[in-house]
Amino acid sequence: MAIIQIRDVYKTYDQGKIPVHAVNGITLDFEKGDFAAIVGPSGCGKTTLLNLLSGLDTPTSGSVMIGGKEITQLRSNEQIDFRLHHIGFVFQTYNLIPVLTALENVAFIMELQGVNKKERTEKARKLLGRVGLMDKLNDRPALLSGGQQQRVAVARALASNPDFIIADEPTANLDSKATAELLAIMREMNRELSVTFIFATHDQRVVDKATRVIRIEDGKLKDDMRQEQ
Amino acid sequence: MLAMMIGLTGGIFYNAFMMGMNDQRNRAAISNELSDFQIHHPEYMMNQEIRFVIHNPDSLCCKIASMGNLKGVSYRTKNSAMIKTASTAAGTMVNGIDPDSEKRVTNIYQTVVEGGYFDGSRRMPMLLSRKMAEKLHAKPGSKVVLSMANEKGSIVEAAFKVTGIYFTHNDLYDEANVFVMRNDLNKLLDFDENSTTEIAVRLIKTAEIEDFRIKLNLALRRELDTKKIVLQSWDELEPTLKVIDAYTIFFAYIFMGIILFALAFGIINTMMMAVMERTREIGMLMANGMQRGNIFKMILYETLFLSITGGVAGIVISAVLVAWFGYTGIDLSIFGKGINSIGYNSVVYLYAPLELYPIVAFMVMVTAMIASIYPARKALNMNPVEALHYNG
Repeated sequence: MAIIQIRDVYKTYDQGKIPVHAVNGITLDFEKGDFAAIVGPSGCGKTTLLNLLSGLDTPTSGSVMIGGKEITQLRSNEQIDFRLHHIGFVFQTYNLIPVLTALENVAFIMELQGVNKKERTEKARKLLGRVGLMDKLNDRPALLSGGQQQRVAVARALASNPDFIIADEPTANLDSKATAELLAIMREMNRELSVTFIFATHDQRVVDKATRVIRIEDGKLKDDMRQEQ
Repeated sequence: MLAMMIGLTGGIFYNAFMMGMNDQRNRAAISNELSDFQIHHPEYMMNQEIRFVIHNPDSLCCKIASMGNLKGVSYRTKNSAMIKTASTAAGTMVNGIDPDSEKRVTNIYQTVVEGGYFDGSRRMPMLLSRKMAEKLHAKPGSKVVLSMANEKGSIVEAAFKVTGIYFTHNDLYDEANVFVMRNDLNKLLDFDENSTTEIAVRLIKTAEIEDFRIKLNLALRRELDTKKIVLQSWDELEPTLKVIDAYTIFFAYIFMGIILFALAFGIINTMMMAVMERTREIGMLMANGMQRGNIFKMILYETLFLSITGGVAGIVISAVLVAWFGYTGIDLSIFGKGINSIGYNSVVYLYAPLELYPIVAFMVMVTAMIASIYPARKALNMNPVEALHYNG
């Protein structure tokens, strides 16, 4: 069953006199458990598409349904609340809070959800253990390598029990070893927890690991292919 | 935070300096010059002539003596005079005092810097200020002549022996006042022994002056109602002191307001930098589900925390400095003559009323809250997509 349904979505930016169609009539479904990579050349609309399906941006027209709910119709505060409970994020630049430890960075999302301290600390420890950072719980981001920081970001994304995780170029700043480790962790979480991962990426290593590859060009869907892993 | 701390310390220190100067001036005025209350004939204050006298002061004194919080009462015979030596002459106010009872109402005996207070060893002794002594080229042992009009308008003269030189730090007062024995002056003026031109009243606690005034008004109601006497407190006798006091307090808050206004821009600048530096972090928080209200509160609390930390540090440092320099004083004797010439002591003991600190703390909080609104609104209005990809 599709957890995300995108129907005929357009996103047009007015840049001077020439309108730019960043997303140009895309229709797509994402199933629970997808490990999908959205690929395409720079400026083709990958990130815009991710922003639309996460509710960070609103489409010029079209519909984005998540779990049967039309998120484009939600008010700003409802969209924020919706993201808190249904969507996890992993960013290219990790975006961890520098003054918090790895444990606190992960627990913080649960604090926003109103989870009590004991429960969120326990869960954050467990998640950091699963991404292989049990020995780095109390380290601040500055003391962690790029790969380790991104693993904290994955743990943070999982902390809210999301329906799906959006990862925008998660491996762009990582070396091969860190990329391989991160992908292995994300794939494992995808399998074990049935969490849907949707990547926007240029990285062939990510594409190779994906179970589904969606190719976009000039804001249009060019190809949507499933591959065996 | 540092700016807040330094700004507040500077502001409070400056205000404590000004308030300290005033406080000292007021206390010196009470203890050396005026005492807490003075009682006169109603016309005496308009025309300081010897004929405007209080008759039978002992009856008043009996009524006053029965009241609590009383340190002492003293009679003074005061008259304008010319003071002369062989070389020069000057106008002055002659204060005829009873040395022992005067000790209970003023500290003039403690200001003697040469010679002694009226010790009874010489006939017709006189206490002269250092300023007047310099002017008259007089010193202890010198003879000076006082020439004045008596009650009948006749000019009387007598020679007095300078037995002591006093110095009160207030040149204006020192230049205008000499002290002699009340008995000597009364004899010279052929003045009724059972009269006086001034009754000085000193309290144990000046702070309770208003309570005492009420009691005094009740005790002397008959004399006051029949306009035989007029009762005035030190601030009514020298209203400029009260006005300067009020202005100092008023300008203290204006000055603190100006400092905090300037600091508010510093806070806005610092917090704007913090918001810009953390644009991606704020974007991440918005993406991950932090409500805009919470982001606003986050910036607000951070600003308040920084400002209040700086403010508290500034207030604590100020309080320590005020306490320290309130004890040791700041010696400005290098400017001594100038300061004395306007009636102030050249050693300034800092003073800040206790209520100044909570008021300043409140002003800091209000400033911080107002200053936090602009950066908090900036954060609030960020677009999460743009914030996440910000490369500032």
